[in-house]
Amino acid sequence: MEKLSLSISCLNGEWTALGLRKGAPTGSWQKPEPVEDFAGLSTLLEESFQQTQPDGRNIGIVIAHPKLTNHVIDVPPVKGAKLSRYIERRLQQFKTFDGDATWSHQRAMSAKGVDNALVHLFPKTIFEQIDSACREAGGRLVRLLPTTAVLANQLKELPLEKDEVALLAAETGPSTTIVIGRRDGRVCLSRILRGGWSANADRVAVDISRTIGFAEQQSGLTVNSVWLFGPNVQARLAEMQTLLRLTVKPSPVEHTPLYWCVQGAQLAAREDANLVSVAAQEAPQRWRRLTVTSAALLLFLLGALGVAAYAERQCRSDRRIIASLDGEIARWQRTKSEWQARHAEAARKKELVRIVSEEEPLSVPAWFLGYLGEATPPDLLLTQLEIQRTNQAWAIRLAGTAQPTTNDSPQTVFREALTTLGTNLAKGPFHLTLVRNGLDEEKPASPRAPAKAPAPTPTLTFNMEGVIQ
Amino acid sequence: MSTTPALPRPAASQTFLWPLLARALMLVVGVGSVALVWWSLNRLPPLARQVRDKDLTRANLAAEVQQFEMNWNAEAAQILESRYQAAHERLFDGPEESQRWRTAFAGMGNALAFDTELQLAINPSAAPEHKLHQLVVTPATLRLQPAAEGKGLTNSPYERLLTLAASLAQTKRRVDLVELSVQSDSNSVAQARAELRLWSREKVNP
Repeated sequence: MEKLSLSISCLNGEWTALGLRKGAPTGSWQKPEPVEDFAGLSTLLEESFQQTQPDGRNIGIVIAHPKLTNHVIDVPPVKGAKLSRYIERRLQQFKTFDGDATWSHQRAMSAKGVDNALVHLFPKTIFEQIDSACREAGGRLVRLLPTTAVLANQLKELPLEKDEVALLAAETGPSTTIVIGRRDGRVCLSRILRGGWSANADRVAVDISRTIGFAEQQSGLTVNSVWLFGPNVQARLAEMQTLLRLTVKPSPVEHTPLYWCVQGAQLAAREDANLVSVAAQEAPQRWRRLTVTSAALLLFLLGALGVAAYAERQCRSDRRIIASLDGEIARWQRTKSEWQARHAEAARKKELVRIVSEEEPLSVPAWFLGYLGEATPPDLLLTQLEIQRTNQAWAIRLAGTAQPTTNDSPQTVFREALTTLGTNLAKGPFHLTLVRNGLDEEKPASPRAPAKAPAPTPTLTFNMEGVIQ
Repeated sequence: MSTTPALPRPAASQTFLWPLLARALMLVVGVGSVALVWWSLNRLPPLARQVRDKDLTRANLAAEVQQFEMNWNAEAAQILESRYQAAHERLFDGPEESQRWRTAFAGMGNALAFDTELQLAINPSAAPEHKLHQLVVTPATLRLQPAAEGKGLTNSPYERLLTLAASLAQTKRRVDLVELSVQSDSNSVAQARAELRLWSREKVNP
């Protein structure tokens, strides 16, 4: 519960204000004349603020009003929202005014084994009028407590036995607020009676007697004592005791003009029967939470936008770099292609040079033909020459015969000449490697020729094969 | 004590609607912000990876080009170019020039008192290994037979054959003598046959 800055008691027209600063009183003010209606409530609140100089704008009001009624109803054994929904449904049964109602409840005494609740009903229009006036005065209504709720709390301070049921009556301005209950603060009945014992003790006594009778009838309990609380208790105590014919005692709680204001500020929130809804009470906190959450979300959104902007800038930068790199890559590829083409062209030219110039065979056949004129001995006659290129070598084939000679031993001459030719070819500039050096000697045709006839000269031929590397 | 007229009561739906809308809006903003951050940050790695890859590609290309530049020897290239031109000069410029040479060489053979027959192969094609260089090697067969009485020349057919072979070796264009077959008798060369290869540039049809 938020702390009050201005605690007011409005007891059927009696207006008392107490200013507070951190729980301590700063000033009090009592309106001299009674408040007839709530038309000028905002002005009255502003004046109360001005007179009491509180620290803050939270307003709490303890109210006793003819339209503020109290009802004890039996409820199922449920709590929380279910109990609230149950009471909400039953409101129409005991509502005594037209229009919507603002209501609150607090636990009441169980009677005949049934749970009860004390329900406070107040016209919503009046509640909103008060709330609106508080806002107009620059304050915020955080508590609107019935006097019965405050008085029920005083039951805890009475010297009662454990199960003793007592009636506590308090003079609240020109009215009397009464509660009947036990010392745990739970009540079985509460009412606001017109008039007070200071002015009209007889009437009040009659109403109290009727109330006690009604309560005893409803709850089946017996009211053992009556306690009075107010400004003129001692003076009227004997008279009231006579009229009520019950034990009447003054409340041990000291009465001060600011009692209701002080209680309004100090009453525990759990059982205060505050007519201001929890939602309305928590509105500032909710608003603060909403503000903080919104601010945090806004900051987060701004951060996200910042991150997005950074990412976008980075992406653009990366794309620019990529475009630049693409250009460079294309340029380097062109250069590379040019170099590749240049090297390929050079290789092609080199290959052409190798094929055309370096692999050109030497004119070996012509040279060898010329050399044969020098290397062939005069005793030999070359009849055939074949030179053929095979791979990397030259295949040579020579054929010839012996020159006609008058020598007695033409074979010897032929052999020598052939040997000379072979030697010249092998050791000459061509380094011919002989693979065949054949000597063919044809015999005379007739072996039966006369013995004295001169021997026919055999035909001497040769075949020679070799290779020039 | 009197009261003012009742104020209009706010609709219950509005009481619940606005907080609901506010929460929904906050949820949308929160989720949207998270999604925006996630989306924004997820865009960066692929682009960064692309930049790295491109940069690596560029660096590799630059290194390759540098290697090409380092391997290039301008002086050697100049020498190669001159050798290439020289090699090119050794090739017949197509079949027309080959035919002209054939005619000229046959004339030379005749002048050296040989009955000269020089036949070039028809429609020679480039060998596969020479295709790249557009080289065509044309086989040719040369048949020589000394003319009767030597057409008044005093030197022997052998000497004249040597002269002709030497002139073949001194031909400006490349003509390979790959086979030579000579038959002779007691006088001198009786006939000769030579297999030649004429190297020419392939004429490329435009």
